[in-house]
Amino acid sequence: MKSTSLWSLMIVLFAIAAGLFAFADTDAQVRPAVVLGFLLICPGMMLVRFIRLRESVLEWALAPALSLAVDAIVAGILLYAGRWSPTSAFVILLGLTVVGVLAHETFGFLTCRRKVQ
Amino acid sequence: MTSRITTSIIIRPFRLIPYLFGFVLLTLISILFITRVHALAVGQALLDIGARTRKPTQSRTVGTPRSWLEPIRVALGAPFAICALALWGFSLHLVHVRQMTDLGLVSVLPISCFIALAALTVGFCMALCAFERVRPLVLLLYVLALIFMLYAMPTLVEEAPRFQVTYWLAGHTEYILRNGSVDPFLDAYFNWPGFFVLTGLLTKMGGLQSVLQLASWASFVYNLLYLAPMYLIFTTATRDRRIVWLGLWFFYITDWVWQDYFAPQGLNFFLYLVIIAIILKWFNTTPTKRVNTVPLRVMLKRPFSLRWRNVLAINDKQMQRLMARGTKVKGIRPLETLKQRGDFRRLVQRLAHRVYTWAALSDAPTTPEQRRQRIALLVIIIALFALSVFSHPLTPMFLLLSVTALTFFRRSSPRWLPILMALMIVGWDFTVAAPYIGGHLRADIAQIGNLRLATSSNVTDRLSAGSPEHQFIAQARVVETAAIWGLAFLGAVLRWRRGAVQHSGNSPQATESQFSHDVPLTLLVVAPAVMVVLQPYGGEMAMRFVLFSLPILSYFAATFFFTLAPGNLLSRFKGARVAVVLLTCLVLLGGFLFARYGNERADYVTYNESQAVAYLYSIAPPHSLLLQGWTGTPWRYKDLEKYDYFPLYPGYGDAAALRARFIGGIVNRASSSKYPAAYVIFTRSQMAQAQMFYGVPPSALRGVEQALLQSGKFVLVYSNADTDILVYVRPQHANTPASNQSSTVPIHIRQSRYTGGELSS
Repeated sequence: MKSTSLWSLMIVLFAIAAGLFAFADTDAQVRPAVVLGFLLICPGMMLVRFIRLRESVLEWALAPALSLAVDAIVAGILLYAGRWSPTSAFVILLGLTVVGVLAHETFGFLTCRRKVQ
Repeated sequence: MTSRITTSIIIRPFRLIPYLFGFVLLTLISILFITRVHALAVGQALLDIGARTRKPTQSRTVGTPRSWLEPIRVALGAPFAICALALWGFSLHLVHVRQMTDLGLVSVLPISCFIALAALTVGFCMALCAFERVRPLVLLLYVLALIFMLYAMPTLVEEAPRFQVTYWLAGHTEYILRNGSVDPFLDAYFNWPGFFVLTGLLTKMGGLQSVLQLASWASFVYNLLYLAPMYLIFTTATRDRRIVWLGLWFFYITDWVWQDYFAPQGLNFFLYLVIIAIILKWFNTTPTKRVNTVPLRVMLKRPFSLRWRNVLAINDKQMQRLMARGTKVKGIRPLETLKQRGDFRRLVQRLAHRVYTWAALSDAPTTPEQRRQRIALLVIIIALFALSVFSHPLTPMFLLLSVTALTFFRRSSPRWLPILMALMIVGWDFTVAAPYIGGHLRADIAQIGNLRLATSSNVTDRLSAGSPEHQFIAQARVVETAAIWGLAFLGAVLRWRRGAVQHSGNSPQATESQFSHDVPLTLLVVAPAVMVVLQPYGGEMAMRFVLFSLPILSYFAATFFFTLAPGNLLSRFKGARVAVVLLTCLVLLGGFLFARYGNERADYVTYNESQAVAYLYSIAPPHSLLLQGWTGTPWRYKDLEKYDYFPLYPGYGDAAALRARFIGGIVNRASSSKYPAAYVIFTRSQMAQAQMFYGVPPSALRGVEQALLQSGKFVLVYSNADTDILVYVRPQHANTPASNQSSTVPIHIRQSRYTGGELSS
């Protein structure tokens, strides 16, 4: 499996796990680690993969910063729109991440096919 | 008797473990130095096994999966890190924070902790300097171990989250979670609520009971986040990985400023580093673009013209050539002529022109970028800056200054970026943050240029106030800062001289001027200093300046040890270089422990204090008046808008004078009819702050409490070993015996320090 696909798979799995822990509203000890890990890494990593920086240190520098920015901007828009709800913000972020990963994979797949043809 | 014997048999040997560990480690280090056999050599040899067996064609490229043996190899390559971490972990249970003196955490750290930190430093220095090949993963392991040992230590040894401001900031998040909105008139921070919105989201979705659970680990997480962007920044300036790693090490052992607690500025410093890293990495000027320069007078005449750089299309080399010939170019005469004629105005213009010409030398691009990547990275910069504007009033200004300086000296190619940044700041500050800006703009403008305030509040005043130990801590901070500045200055000068030699063509690498790469970093040290002049921020801006310049200073300090001439002693003998770097690191680390954790006796919070505050909130009706004897109470973490808070600050005199001066004022304030109830809280950390920072003896606050109790207007409602809470008794109930107050106010007295439990039933 290519590293790009592996990353996409990991992000999707992380998103599913975070969603399960958050919406099942469990008191599991790992819930903070999984959910906070998702919010800290995944939205930004999904976006950074689009840029194709090809260096892990660059991706690891940008991903947390971008994740925090996306998290805060989404939650901030809800706050100033008078629709503050952490759950809604989390759902939006989950959706953005999963859709972004799928778009990235589809785009990559189509590019590969075009090159082969 | 049996249990005592059991305890002595079982526990005492466990207590000896750290000392045994330390003894073994010291012996190991001594043997290694005596026999000149490096333990790392074993690890390095093991690391090399993989490299030797690997075919030359299979050189590792980006994206190739690592061998599963890699972590084992790294661990074997860093035996000191593993030993130091283990020893440090064993030592933590020997730390008793309640025995802390005014010297801070250092006063209660066991000797094994120091041995662990020293061992880690020894291992790092050897891994850095003793071998030809630098192992990034081994060095990374050392740096991660250092971050954990230095920045997670308070969380692991102290009882509750430290620092009273943390509780106050947590109250902002709690407000948003409870109300789903912000009130910009309630508190200034609500004009920039990005950080609290973010932490609210993390707290709620992470299933945490309180945001304070996040706050405990903020310092460690922030410092972990700073690592990657700082690495990127340093790699844009040098290809020598030793400088990069030593620079990182220097940053972590000199960052005493404490802006990385649970606060917006810690997050914003991370955003600052990432934005600067992106700009230096991808948006530096390419050498193909010719640098046109212009005299200062032209710049001053037409400061807003976008075309003024092209008024005189002449670069530095052309200028030098023309000057050598003595040619006049559009009114610009050679330097010597100006000197002879004493035309000082033109001389200054020429010097300014030459400084600009020198600073505007272009760098080689570090990373080739595509147009698609460039656009995406610009969008990322704007998103990160948006979060910064949304969450903090000051950091965007630092960013604006730094990016403007880089753009002005042609170190950053998107020239519209500073303009966009300025528009974003103005847009936010004069719309969303207008409630704060409108009320404070005049006062903020009045502070512009007040350098005395900028330096006195947090530097010179601290040097002569408080207990002698605290004065020593304040001096240690100054010395630590001066040391890193001094090393950085030496490193910068050395690089400049080496760069000048190389630039003159005496070296094979004459095509690459080393110092031209350092210009952006120099600008990043100078640009934040402008903020100190523009806005002293009650004296705190000087501290912010120290923080924002620290990464770059750490880099320059590291260059000092690796930019020496080939014939130099440190260059010829590896052992000498290891010894010098090790000694420097140990001295800076020692200073760091004092400088960073020197105020810990006042800043740490005990369970007793947090329980007392929780009890206060459980009994105080909304809109009550809450008074504290001094600052330092861990409160305001909930119901921020429901209570009025007021510090007493009972002066600096002795207890008798305090009673006469302040008791009447306290009673007057508490008896106001607008408050349904009034409480006064006295805590351990208040007394520590008063004593440490202002030299007020503990007896002064005790005297105030005694006087309040003796006045008959207040009764004790809660007391434990660290806290007393007094409640104001309304006049109609003043004659009622204290014990009868329990019908309206529950009394919880376990062990009062001041009354001896006389009110307990």
